[in-house]
Amino acid sequence: MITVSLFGRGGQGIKTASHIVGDAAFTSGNHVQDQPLYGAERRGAPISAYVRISQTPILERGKITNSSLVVIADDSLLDSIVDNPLQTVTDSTVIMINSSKGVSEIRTRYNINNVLAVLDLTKLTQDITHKSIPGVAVASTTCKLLGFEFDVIEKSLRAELKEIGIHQEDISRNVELARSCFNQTTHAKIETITKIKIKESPIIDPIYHHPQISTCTITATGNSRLRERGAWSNFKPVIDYEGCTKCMICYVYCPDSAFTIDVKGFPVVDYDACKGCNICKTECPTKVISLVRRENK
Amino acid sequence: METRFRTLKDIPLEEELVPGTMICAGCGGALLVRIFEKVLGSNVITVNAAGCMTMLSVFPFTPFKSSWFYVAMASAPAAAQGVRDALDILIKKNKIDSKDNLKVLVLTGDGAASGIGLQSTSAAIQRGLDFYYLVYDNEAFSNTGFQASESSPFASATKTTSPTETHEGVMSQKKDLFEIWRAHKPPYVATISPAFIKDMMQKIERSSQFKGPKLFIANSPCPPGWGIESDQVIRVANLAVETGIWPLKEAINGEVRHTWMQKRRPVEEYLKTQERFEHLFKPTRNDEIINQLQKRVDDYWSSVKK
Repeated sequence: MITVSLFGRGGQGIKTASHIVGDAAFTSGNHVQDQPLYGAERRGAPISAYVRISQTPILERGKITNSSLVVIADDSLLDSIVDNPLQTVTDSTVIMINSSKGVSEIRTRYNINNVLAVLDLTKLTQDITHKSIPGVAVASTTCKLLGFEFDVIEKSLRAELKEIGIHQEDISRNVELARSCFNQTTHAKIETITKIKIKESPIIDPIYHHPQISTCTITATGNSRLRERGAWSNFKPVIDYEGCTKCMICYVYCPDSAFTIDVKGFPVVDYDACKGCNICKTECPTKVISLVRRENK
Repeated sequence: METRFRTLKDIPLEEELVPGTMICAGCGGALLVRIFEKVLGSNVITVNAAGCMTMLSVFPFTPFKSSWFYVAMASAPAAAQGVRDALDILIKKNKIDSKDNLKVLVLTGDGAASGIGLQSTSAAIQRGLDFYYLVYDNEAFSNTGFQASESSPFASATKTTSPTETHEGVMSQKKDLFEIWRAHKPPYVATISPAFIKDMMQKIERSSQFKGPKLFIANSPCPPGWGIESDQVIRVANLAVETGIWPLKEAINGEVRHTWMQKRRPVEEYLKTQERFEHLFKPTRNDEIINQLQKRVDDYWSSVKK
């Protein structure tokens, strides 16, 4: 059995990517399981998806605990402790990461010794589709690594995108994107998983606690500032202060309190708080806010 | 009453909500809550019915500098009554100083306000509970993936009302919560919009002079649900008002006054911005439905006293 884990953020098309991979695997004559996993649905929040592919019926259920292939659509997840995508990696796991960084930088920074492919799929997606949803690029690259034919990928891709209501012209662009990804990726030797790690769970008897103890209580105030959200977007708004008229529109319309007004009356962006909704850029009356790609987010 | 919000720049600079929440990028509702709390100030307890704004505080983190009390979807107004009564009793018994008194703010989505929680809201208004009530109306159950609510507009697509050959999305009309509330004769009811922040701040300020229910319905564009880019939220909210779909108004002791009465743009301009109305334009234009939507808006405005 081959186990594929895909990691990304809400809005990047990871759920659809896993459906495309699953569909392509099924059309290629395999037994397939494919399931997205996310908490509350939210753009920018981490999501994962799991695909199991096998020649024989699949009896396993639930999350994948050791992956043959790990696909990471957003490199900022590597810095996350809670949502770290490397948790299911073993020595034989093949890893593919969408990043603008170099292979050696990723290897040293995250201490990865596995077979590793690093591709800037976001840039490729932007160049071809003029949008920054890398799902299809991720799916196509994954399928190529798994050794599927392009005809099969294209068919699955068209079917999945049509089902979620994507326009014909956008589907065509995405097919072009998929082809481009397919041609620049090589097959990978992906090991099949034969032994499945099974964790034994002890049986726990629930104990009654008074609601004062057993309900969640937060006694701190305003501590969510400790949670940095800058990684939610690939872009950040940058203000050109030369043309800024201190009108405060950007400050007023920021849903995330990411702006402050400095002593001279100029707006200042807190990039750890900014989720990159870009309302400030759109609303700025003098158009002095531009978007810059975040490099080391 | 003299307003302290004459221009947008009069916005209070103190943030009552710090960054770092799990709310979606570009959430119209989050912006409304941020501004609302700014105007109310720091002496507030927010009673939050389950909904998108659940994600404001995810244990063990909270963006609030003031208190936040999380309750089930149907029961926020009832919980607010409990909080109000407790505060009143403690002040009366000199257990807490009256300067530490808190304003009670109920925060709910449209699913709770116009559906699941309508009964408890009706009861709280009828009892004359002294509280603020803010509905962020994103016109569906957005937190769980955009299923239709009683507030979803006619002919819009939601997860549970996909347009088909025989159905144009939601087949029922949006519930008129403003009129339902107004029928209770509360001292203050208003509609607000994130694109009209000055209007919103003035309304909150004006409502504060009344004791009793102070109710607000806020147009709250939802980027993933409505199918808009997150940077377009204010533009879309602005179009909702300028096409006349979202009338900005208030009712003081039942008497209605519109706070935006300018030349309206065609409803179509608003519909075209959102994927949830896309089936009305593609593959072929559905003039019958578009005209119905326009007529409904025209009929509303022809009944408005100039």
